[in-house]
Amino acid sequence: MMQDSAHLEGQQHPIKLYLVVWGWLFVLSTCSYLVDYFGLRGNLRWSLILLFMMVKAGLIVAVFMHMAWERLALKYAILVPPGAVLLFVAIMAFESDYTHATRMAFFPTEGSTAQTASLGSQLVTSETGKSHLNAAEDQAEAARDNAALPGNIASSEKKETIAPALADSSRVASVQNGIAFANKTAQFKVYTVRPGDTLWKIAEREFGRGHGGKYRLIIEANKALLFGSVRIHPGQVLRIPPSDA
Amino acid sequence: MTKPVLTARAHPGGWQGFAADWSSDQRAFKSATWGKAMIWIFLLSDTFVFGCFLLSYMTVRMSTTVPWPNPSEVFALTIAGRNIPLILIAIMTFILISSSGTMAMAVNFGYRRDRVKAAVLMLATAAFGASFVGMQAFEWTKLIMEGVRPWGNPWGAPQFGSCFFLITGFHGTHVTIGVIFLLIIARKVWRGDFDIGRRGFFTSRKGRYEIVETMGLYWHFVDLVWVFIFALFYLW
Repeated sequence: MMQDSAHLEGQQHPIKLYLVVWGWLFVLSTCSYLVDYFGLRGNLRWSLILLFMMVKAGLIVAVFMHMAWERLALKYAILVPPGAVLLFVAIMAFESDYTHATRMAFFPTEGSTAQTASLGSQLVTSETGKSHLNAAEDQAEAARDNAALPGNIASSEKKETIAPALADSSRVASVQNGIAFANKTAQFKVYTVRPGDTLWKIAEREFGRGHGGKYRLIIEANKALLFGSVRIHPGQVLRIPPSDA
Repeated sequence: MTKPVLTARAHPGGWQGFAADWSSDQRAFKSATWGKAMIWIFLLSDTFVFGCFLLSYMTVRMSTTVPWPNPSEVFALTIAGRNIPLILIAIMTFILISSSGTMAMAVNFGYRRDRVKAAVLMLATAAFGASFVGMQAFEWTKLIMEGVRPWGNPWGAPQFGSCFFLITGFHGTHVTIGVIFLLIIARKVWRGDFDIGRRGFFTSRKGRYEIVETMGLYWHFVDLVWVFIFALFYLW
């Protein structure tokens, strides 16, 4: 009796309905892939990704999972509790924002990002007016200013815009290199990145098989060149430190 | 679309129905059988598990001071000399959506007692699922060869590896389990177990075609989770 009514109530729909929804899911997935393919950035990217995600999820739950034909009692029992997850997301977003700010303030040397960022902001100010040409002084100032800076560079988006600007300015790069290596007499080899290389592969090639994990040494030695981005491209010249460093 | 004739007369709909269903000493889920209510509650608990994985991923990604590796480049493949961003993940997405489509139709044919079509569509779903897992194995191998580990990777924030392996690994496990159950149930449907009332091996109860829908709910859920992983981990 109960099965019969359940059977009658929800689950006899024309195949065409499923095919239409299926087609829409394909279209929406293609759209979200194209967002990445065309490299859209910023708010447009995030809002499109979220929009396509929610529409796809809605179609799957409503039609494929037959939620649209269930009684309200079941709908609310299943769909309301995940709202708690959203609250959790909001709390953790707040928390991780704070953690990030704290790290920016107290981890000046980690991954050289904070340093890069602070140098970056100084470069920006120097371009807009004050011209600090003594980069070594900048460096010292940067180290001192780190604790005060995170407020300025809170969003990672800003960092991203600063980093390329810095990379273009060979002046800062070379000065930073000078500082990083002035007190080291160790012998560095020079390596030109080939197509298909990863830092892991380079480490395996230079330090011997099974030593891929030493790619960290390469990152360490090229901190100033890589500007914390740790991405390499063919033709780029890297310093290879001695493997026992 | 068939109108809800029988139950709509017996029980009020809308908000009134919502209040009536939940109040007094009675069954809350009027239209849903025990099996359907239970699979939904299981899926809800699984939602919390995946929700926690994704939000811990958000937490580490937001709080790290090291740049996050760009998934568009990390998951790019070189096909015929062209570097196409994220192509493998796009193919995996289309495969999983296709499997969801075949599953939805299998459920429909199951309720129509068309056991051959239902079984064939379930086998197709299982085949899509298996190829999805195969591609994931390929992706894992590729990334591990490139030096991605749960504690580090050559491109940036070390948390990338742990998030990647945890989230995609847990999802892949779900797909694998789904494929196994699809094969088991497809066999039962094919053999006509639900028509002749054959007793199950494990529970020694008579099965019903409803199990096809239960299976479908699980499978669509796995696809649903992938929608979120695709958007939040791969595209973000």
